Amino acid sequence: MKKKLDSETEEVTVYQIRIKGHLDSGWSDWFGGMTLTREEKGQTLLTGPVVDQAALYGVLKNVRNLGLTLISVYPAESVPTADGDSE
Amino acid sequence: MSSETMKPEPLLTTKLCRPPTRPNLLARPRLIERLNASLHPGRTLTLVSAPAGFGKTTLVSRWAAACGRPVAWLSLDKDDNHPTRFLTYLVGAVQTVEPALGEGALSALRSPQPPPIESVLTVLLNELSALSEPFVLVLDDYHVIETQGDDGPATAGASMSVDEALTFLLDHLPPPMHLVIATREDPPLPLARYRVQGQLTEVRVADLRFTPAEAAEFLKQVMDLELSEEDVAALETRTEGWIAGLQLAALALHGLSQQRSPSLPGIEGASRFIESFTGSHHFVLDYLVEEVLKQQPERVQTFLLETSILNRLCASLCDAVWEPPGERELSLPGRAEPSPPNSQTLLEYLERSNLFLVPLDPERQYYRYHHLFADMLRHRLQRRSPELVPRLHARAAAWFEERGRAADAIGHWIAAEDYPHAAEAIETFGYRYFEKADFQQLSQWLEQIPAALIQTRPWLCVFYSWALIFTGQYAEADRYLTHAEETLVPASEIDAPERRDLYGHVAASRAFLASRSQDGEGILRYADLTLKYVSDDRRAIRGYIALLRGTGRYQEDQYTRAEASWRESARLNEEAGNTMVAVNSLVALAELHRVQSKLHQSLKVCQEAADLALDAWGKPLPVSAEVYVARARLRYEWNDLEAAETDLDQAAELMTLYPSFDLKVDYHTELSRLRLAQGNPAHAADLIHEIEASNRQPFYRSAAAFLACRIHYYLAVGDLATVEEILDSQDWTLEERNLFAWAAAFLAYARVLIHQEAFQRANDLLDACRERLETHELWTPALKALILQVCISQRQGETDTARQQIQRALMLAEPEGFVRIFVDEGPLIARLLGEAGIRGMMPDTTGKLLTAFEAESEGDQAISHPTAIPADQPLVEPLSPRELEVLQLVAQGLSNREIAEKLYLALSTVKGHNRNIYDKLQVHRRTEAVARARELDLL
Repeated sequence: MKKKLDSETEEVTVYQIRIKGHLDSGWSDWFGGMTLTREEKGQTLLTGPVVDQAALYGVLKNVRNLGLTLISVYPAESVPTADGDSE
Repeated sequence: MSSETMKPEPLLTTKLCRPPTRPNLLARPRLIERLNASLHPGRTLTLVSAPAGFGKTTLVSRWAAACGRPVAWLSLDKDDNHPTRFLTYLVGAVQTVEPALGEGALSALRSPQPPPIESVLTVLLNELSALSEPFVLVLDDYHVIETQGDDGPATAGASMSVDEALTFLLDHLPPPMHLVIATREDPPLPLARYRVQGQLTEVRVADLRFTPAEAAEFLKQVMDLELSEEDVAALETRTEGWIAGLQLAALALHGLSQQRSPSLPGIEGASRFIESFTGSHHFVLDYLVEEVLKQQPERVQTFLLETSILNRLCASLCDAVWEPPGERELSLPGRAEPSPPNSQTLLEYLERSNLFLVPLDPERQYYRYHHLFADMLRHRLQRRSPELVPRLHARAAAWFEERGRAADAIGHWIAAEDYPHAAEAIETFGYRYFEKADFQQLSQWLEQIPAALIQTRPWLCVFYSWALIFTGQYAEADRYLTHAEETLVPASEIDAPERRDLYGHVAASRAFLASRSQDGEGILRYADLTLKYVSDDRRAIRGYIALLRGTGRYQEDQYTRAEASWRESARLNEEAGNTMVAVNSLVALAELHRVQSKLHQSLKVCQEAADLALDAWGKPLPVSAEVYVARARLRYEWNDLEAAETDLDQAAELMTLYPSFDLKVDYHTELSRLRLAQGNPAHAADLIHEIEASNRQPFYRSAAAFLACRIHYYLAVGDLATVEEILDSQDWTLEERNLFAWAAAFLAYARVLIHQEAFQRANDLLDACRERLETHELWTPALKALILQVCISQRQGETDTARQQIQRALMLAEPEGFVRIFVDEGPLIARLLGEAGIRGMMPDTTGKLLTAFEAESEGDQAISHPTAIPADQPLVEPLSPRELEVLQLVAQGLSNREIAEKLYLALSTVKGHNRNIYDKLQVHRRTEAVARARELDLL
C-alpha cells in the first residue's frame, strides 16, 4: 500500500489498547477520545485513531498514572481520514 | 548587599520538605533493610520504581527519617520539567543540608539567559565532592519529568534535558552523595550498566506489594478492621497487594460498617462487599473510589471534588475554593457532635481517616492529595460538573492574588481560562519579575495569553518586549512597543504619575532595543526620556538605563560623559542591589580607562568591581569573570603574562556560570593573544576556531576586538588568504566606526598593509586613526598606531623620523608602564629602543623594555612579527652617559691614560668603562667599538 502524506489524505493509525479491569465509558476523555469496550475476562479494549507517537505515549502515560495494568498495544490497519484515493 | 534584592520568588519550601510519616505506619523491615544496604560504599543510586499507589513515598520518607544521614528531599512536579528550574530546586534541596553550597550555581540559574546546564552541574559537582559529610538526595515523583521532544518547553540556553542532566550527575556523582529516585516508570538512564557495576539498588513493585501477612497486619493495625482470614485473603488477591487498593477497600468497609451500626463492625456486610467486589471485573480504583465517595457525607464529597484542583491545600485556601452545599448540618462519621463545616476540620478528618491526604510539613499547614486519588477526584469533578472547574480555579486564583502569591494566582487564572484576569494579575505582579530580569517566567505566562489582549495592555507590552529583545526577536518586540505607544498618544498629555511612569518604561524598552543595533543616538534619546519620566523609586530600571546611557555616549564619542554615566550606573545599581549590572558598569569604566591609557586607574576600578562582586560568603560571583578578563588585559600590557594567565584561568572557572557570549568571545580573544605572545600559536588557533565555529555574533565591542585578534593571528601564521577574506568581509570606512570599539581592528588592518609593504596607505590610515584617537584622548591605541608608524619609517629608511617617533612613543608609554605594546612589534623596535637607550634617552624605560625583549628572544618564539624586517643586529643595552662620554673620546683616538686624565678618573675605572662598552656593543677591541657606534649613530 502506498502511503500518501499530503494534506488531503493525512493518515492516522488506529490503535487497540487492551487493559485489565472494566472501565466505564466515562473514562474515554482520558484516553484521547478512544472507544471503550468491555471484554471477557475483565478486560477493556480501547480503540481509536492516534495521530502520532506522541499522542500514543500520552494515552499510555494515563494508563500508567491510573495504575492500570497494560496488556497489549496493537496498531490496526492504517486508514485515511479524508475521503479519496486509498489504493 | 545585593543577594537580598536579587532573590526571585522564593522556592516552595514544601517541595523540599520530606513528607512527615504517620505514627501508625506498617513497619516493613525487609524493605528498610534493603534500603539501608543501599548506602554501602560503591552503591550510588537507589531506584524505587512502581506504579502509583504502592507506597513509594511513604517507604522512602520513613527510611530517610532514620537512615542516619542528612537527607535532601525534592518532590518534583510537572513545572520542574525544565532543566533550569529542575536544577534550581535541586540546589535548593541540597542547601537544606549544606546552606553555603551552590550559591554561584543559583545566581547563574536565575539570570535571564542561564548558562549551559552542563556548566552549572560541573560547578555544583565540584562543590559537592568537597563535602566531608555524606548525605542522601531524594528525587520523588521523577516520572513527571518528560523526555524532551515530547512537549517540553523550549529552553533558551539549556542544552540538556532533565534526564540528560541526571545522567551527567550520576556519571560524575561525588562520593558524599547518594541518590534515591522514586518514580512510576524507569527513568531513561543506563540502568543495565549500573546494575552490572553493582551501583544500583532497586525496589520494585514485587517488593513493594503487600505480602498476605502485611496485608492482614495493615487491615488490622492501620485500618482498624476486624476481618476474617478468608476476607483478608480475598482482598489481598483481588488487589494483588496494591496498597492504594487495599486502603480504599478498607475505607469502603469502614463506611459500610458505620452505615449499619456505628458501634459494631459489620462482619457480615463486609463479607458481602468483598464478595461482590472480588467477583466483579471493575477497575479496582474506579470502583473503590466511587464506593468510598458514596459513603462520605455530601459535604465531604464536594470538598474532596472541589479541592482536587489544588496542588497544595491549606484550610484557608480550601475555604475560599470550596462551596459547601446547602445548610445541611455536617456530621462526620465517628463524631458525636455535628461540626462546623470549616476546611480545617475537614482536612484533619481526611488525614485521620486515611483518605489519601498527605501532610507536607510537620505543622500540618499544607497538604496534598495522593496523586492517584487526586486524579480520580478530578476525573469525577470534570464528569459531574465541568462548568464548575473554571470557577474553582478562579476562586483559587483570587485567594492567591489577595496574598500576593503571584505565580500561583496567575497559574490558576490561566487554568480558569480567564485571560483578562490573568493579564491583570501579570500587570499587577509582573513588575517584580521584570525588575529582577526574570524574563523566562514572564514570557512563559505571556505566551499563554492571547496576543490581542496583551496589545491592549501597555505594561504587558513592555514586559514582553524585554523578554523578546533578550531572545533576539527584535521585530516582535518593536510591534508590541508600538502598541504600547499607541495607548500613550498624544504624548503631550502624559501628566498623571502612572502614565508618566509607563511612558518612561516604554522609552526604556526603546533604549534597550536601540542598544541592540548600535544606535547610540537612539539610546541617548530614549534614555533621557526614561530618566525624565520613570518614577524616582524605580531604581533597577534607572540603574540599567544609566548603563545603557554609557554605551550610547561612547558610541557617540562622548567619553567624558560615558565615564560619568558608568560611574552613576555603578552607584545606582549598587544601591538597588543589582550587583551584576553594577559590576558591568565598572568593567566598562575600567575598559575605558585602559583605552585612555590610564592603566593604573583602570586597575583600581577593577579592584573596586572585584570587591563588589562577592557573594554572601565572600566568594566571587560569576559576574567576576568580567573583572578578571579586564584585569588580564592590564597585566598583558605590563607584560606580566603569568598574572594575566592566572586572571584568565579564574575567569574561565567563573564564566561557566556566566552566560554572556560576549564575555566568552572576550576571553577567547584575550587568551589567544596571550598564547601568541607565549609562542603557542596552536592553542591560539584552537581558541579562535572555537568561536568561529559557534556561528554566533557577539555584540559591537567584543566583535571588533575578536576581528582584530583574528587578523593578527592569521597574519602571524602567514595565512594571507584568510586575512584577505576577513578584510573583505568588513566595511572599513573609518568615519563610520566608533574607535573605542574599533581601534584595534583598524590597527590590525594597518599591520596587514605594512606586511604588504603598502607603506603609504598604512601611514595614511594610521595618521587618520591617530588624529581621531588623540582628539578623543584614547591614548592606548594612539600609542600603538605611533609604534606601527615607527616601523614604517624605519622600513622606509627614514631614520630621523623613526627616532623622533620612538622618542614620542617612549614619553607616552613611560608614565603607565606600557611594555607589551612595544615588545609585540619584535626586533625592529628592539633595535631602535636599544639605540635610543645608548643615546641616553629615558634609560630606565628603555632598559626595562630591552630586558623584556631579551626575555622574549630567549624563549623559542615561533611567531614572526609582521611589521618587522629580519633582525640583523643583536640586542644592545643602553650605554650610561659616562660610557658614552668615554666612547666619544675613544673615537677621537685618545688613549686610556689620556681619557683618564681628561675625565679625572683612575685608569682602572676607564678600563672598566671600556669593558662595559665592548660588552654592550658586543665587540672586542677599540676600533670595532668605534665602527659599531658609528653604525648605531651614537657618535
